[in-house]
Amino acid sequence: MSEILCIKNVSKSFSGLKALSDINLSINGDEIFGIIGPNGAGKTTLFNVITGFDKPSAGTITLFGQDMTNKITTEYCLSGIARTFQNIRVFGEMSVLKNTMVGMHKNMRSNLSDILLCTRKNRIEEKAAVENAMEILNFLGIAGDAGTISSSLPYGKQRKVEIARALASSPKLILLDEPTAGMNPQETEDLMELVAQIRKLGPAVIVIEHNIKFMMSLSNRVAVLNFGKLLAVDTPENIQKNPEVIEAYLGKEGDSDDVA
Amino acid sequence: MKSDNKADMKKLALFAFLVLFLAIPQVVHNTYMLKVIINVMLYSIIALSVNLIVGFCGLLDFGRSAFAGLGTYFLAITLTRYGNFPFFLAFFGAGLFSASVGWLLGMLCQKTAFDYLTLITLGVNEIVRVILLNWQSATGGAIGIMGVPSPNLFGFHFDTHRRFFYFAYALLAICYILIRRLTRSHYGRAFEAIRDDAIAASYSAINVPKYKALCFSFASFFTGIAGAAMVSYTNYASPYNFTIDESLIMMQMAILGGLGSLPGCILGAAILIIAPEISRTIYDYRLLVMGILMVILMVFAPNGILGKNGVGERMVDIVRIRRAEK
Repeated sequence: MSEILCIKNVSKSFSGLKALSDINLSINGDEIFGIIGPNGAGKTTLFNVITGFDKPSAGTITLFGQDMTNKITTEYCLSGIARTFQNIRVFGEMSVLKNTMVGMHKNMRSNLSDILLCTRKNRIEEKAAVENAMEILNFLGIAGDAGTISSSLPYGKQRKVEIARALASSPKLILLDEPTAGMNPQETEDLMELVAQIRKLGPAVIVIEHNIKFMMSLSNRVAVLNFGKLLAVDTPENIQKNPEVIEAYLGKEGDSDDVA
Repeated sequence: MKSDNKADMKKLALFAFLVLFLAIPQVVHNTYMLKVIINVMLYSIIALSVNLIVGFCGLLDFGRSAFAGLGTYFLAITLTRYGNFPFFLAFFGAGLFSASVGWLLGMLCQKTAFDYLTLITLGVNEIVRVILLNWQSATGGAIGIMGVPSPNLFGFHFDTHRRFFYFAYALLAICYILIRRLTRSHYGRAFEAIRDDAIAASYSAINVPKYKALCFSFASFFTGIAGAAMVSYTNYASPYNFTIDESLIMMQMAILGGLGSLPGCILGAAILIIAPEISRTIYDYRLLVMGILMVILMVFAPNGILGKNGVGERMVDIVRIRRAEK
């Protein structure tokens, strides 16, 4: 399938600290793309740059064929990209249902007069939005918590609320930033299954993860970042054998007696 | 089903209350009491607008009274200076004028951080007050504007206390319904999203600065309308009514009732207007009393009387526990 995201020669510096150096990546519309790397490698910064949260210091970003390099987050999301965060960002004081419905914001067509006059168009749209949201919550297995205030939910469920909100915008590309952080093995298994199903539903997925098993069994391709530089982009099997990657995570042979 | 019956009963009770409320001016002839109730209704509208900004969008606005003043003076000036200016236009214009200034403020402060926006609203309040006080040729300065006519709609004059009661009642009902519809729409959810996490909100394709300005604008429309209604009741516009103290009281009405709770606004307005009237002592010490009330609230019901874990919820819980024990 064709390329949907083209990251060309992208660098990002924060007052002298070079967080990303000359990144070149091409993401296809039908893959699960993994990004791994030690902490501080620049993975989340990359996510920030390819969603308009931070502007790249150099390079271009082309999303769905359009040059998005200097656009803001809102515009990226209008194009069909959605994201979850490393430290969960749910709307704490709102119910799970409302959280999900916020995700649909860009697809709501009622204007102010429709709302104030409570026209038929508005009522139909709201009803459909609620049904759509409940479908997504069902898919994620948290439909029972639809009326619960998000901040009172356990961590794992809040993570799912975030994913529900991201799915609600009917994105063509979903970015997941360390979705299994803080999860036990069972929850991680469930999430892996979920991500596979999400990919089947349509959107391409880019995942930042530390969990090697998650990466290797789910991803079609994996990119490895270290100190802001792209070390390798390859299939999971080849990445595991790549000497530079091994060095980045485990150190060079001869560095320490612990390395086998 | 049992819960359906309960919901229906509640609706019926509410409907009955609203209808009975309409009978008040027929039964109560004491002008003073009518005046107090009318004040409660008009201030409720302002409290609703404060709730929209502070409760739903999470922006701290200490300058609400300025926007009421804009509405007041727009109506006062257009109706006293231009002979046959239709009331309806002046009234609506007051709301639109206030909304435009609110929009302007929101757009100018797009990149302003939360704390500084708060300070700016204080500044706006003062700027408006000083202009109203000093621009003598336009506003009459310290003397104010006298002879502001009562509402005149479709030939019907709302020039008695009794008639104005119905005007204020209808106005509150309309504003309440409109604000309620707004908060239940995707606009309302966008405002709440901005309050809870502005970054995540922008990732839901919500243009955060634009929606903040929108929130200011919508709320200010209602504040302006309320200000216009107030002056057409008292028939006199004075710059001394639009101080920061007034803004604080308006804010306290929304907070007391519970931010995010629309009925709470009416309750808050009722308490803060009626209590000082009941007790002369409370009136003299009203700022002190309100301060103490605020502290008590912060300890026992930080989300207001009708907010989460507030008096309303606690009472419901107590009733439920008693029932379960039986």
